[in-house]
Amino acid sequence: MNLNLKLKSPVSTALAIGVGIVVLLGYFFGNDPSGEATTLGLLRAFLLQGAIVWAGVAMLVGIFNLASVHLAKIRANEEASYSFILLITLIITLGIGLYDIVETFTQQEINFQRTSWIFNYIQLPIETSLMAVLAISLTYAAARLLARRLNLISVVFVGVVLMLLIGAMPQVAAQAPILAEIRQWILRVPTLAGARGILLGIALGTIATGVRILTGSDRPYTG
Amino acid sequence: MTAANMNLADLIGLLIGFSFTIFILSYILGDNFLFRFATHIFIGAAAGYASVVTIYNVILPQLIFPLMNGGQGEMILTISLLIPSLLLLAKISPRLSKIGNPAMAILVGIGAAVAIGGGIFGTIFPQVSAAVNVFETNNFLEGAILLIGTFTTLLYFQFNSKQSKNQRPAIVQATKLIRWIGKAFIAITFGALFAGVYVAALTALIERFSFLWTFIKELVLPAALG
Repeated sequence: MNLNLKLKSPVSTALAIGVGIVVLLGYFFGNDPSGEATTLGLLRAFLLQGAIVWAGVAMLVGIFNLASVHLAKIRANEEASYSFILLITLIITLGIGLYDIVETFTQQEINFQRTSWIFNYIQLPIETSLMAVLAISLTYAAARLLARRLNLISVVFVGVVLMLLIGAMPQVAAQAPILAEIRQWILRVPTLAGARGILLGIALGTIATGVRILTGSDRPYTG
Repeated sequence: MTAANMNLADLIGLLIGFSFTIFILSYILGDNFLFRFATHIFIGAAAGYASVVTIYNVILPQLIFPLMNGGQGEMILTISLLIPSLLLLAKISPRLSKIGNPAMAILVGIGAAVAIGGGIFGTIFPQVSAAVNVFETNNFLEGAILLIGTFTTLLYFQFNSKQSKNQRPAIVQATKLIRWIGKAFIAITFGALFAGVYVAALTALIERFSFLWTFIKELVLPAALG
């Protein structure tokens, strides 16, 4: 039998499998019968703490990549004005934040007033407004669903949405308690059943993906 | 909210918040440069804010301060965290990107193990245990619907079964029916999720209109009318 195994990035693959197995075994053998952490448990805790740090570093690398992509767009004069705005905002926010951090440590007192100002008056209004626009987009999407794909499933979907929204209105619940009861039943029985099935499906998919990584079938870290 | 009891920074902040709200809501009329301007500002500010939070809460206390003030044992542990961190930084450069692969592999390996553990202990065990105990808390009909709903929804996700030519038509029909029932339960669940998201979005819309009206009533109108 000719296996013809062509292993790409053997060091990275061995590291991913080894570290993953240690963390996974730590779930089962992390504590001895008296509840004390075993060596495996301590190693797992260290790796999990490390994962937090490395995820933080990876996020900074991602943000640097975002900045470099927009810098390249400016150089290529491709929607340069928007990229310029993004970069300037990023640099100003980062600069103000770093200034707040330095001041916090030099004055031995937490002081993030300037960063909080950016969060409260720039990020929060934009985020909430985007959420508000979503209300209109969702209404439009639901109307389009019925117009474009009128079948029993789409009618069930829109019917459930309407029933849940109408049943949630206090005036309706007072005038027609049956509607509020139907709403409760929909949430308690069929919605729960579907959600449970979806959750189990997601969990099985996640486990399958994790196992593929831990067996080296998937190597998303190469490249 | 009156101009008299506010400092200049808050006043400017409210004006900026008012402007950005109008810019974003202008999307209702269609994609335009005001909306794009606001979203790019948002991405820049969010990325900057996320960097600051990461540096303050993770990088400084876990990587920098232990090296400066920690004992010998703490320093060794920190150096063992620092080496993969430095390797990860190589991912910034496309030429040096491969140097960062081992560090990325460690991160992915830990992530995969945590995902498996979370999936088993956080979802499969509790959900299966709840699914098998449905008849304890519900009446028989509700329990049966819950069980059928869970079962058919789960079966709907099975995409790998190929239909062979020799398969009996009755089995094909039964599979189709089961998957259709699963689809109906998924439609109900997504309908409930849609309604929840819609109510949250509607609340945000009402809050934004309330903010715009309060801003105009308390700050713009008094200034305009003298």
